[in-house]
Amino acid sequence: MTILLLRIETLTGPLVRVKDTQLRVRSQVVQLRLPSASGGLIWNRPVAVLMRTPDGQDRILPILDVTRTAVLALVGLCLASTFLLRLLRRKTA
Amino acid sequence: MADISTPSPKPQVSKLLDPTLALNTVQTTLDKFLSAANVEAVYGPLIEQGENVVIPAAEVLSIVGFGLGLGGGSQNATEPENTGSGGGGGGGGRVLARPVAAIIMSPTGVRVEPIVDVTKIVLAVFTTLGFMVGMLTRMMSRRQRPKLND
Repeated sequence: MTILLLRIETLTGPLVRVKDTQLRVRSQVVQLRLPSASGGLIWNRPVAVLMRTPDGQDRILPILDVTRTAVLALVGLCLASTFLLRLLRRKTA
Repeated sequence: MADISTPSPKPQVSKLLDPTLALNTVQTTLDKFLSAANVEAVYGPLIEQGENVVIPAAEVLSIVGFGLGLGGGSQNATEPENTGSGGGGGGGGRVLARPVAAIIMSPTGVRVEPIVDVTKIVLAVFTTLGFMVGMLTRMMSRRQRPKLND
């Protein structure tokens, strides 16, 4: 029997000091392991940057993947157009 | 006359059949695979350019798989000497990385600049357009097709 192990966790990197600004980088890891099949998949992507300004303010800068968002939007457009065309065809038939 | 002699194939064969070498290869591959789950795999080292400091960020996808097989048998059950056994294994993997953004620290502040893969987006646009035109053509051709009863 294949046991599927999925683990999603957020990792935070070490503190980086640049002049007066302190930064911590954050990433999200998706681990998929197949113990009986001796293999797996690791997907690691940047999520955000935690920043502390010299005046002590904490800010979170999210990291957006523009390419992925655009491609997903186009896939959504494909699916939506398919759905609409089928709906129109049923109405006209 | 120069002495031309071919080396014996035995050392090469023994090197190929060395289990330590195979185990080392598997260990190295697994280490590389597991190193993709660290923060350091996603964020690069600091790059200083004048007054600016840049941290590159990339998405990493690592896939690995291994398989092993063992077997044995005999040609004749009454002769236990003529038994044979064998085994083998194999594996493979791939690491894919794609730049996502650059964190830029300048005297004016910290900002995140996205890295846009225009080629990928253009290809996706063309694929979407092709799909939609195909769907429309199929729909129009069905509408214009005459019925058999008419």
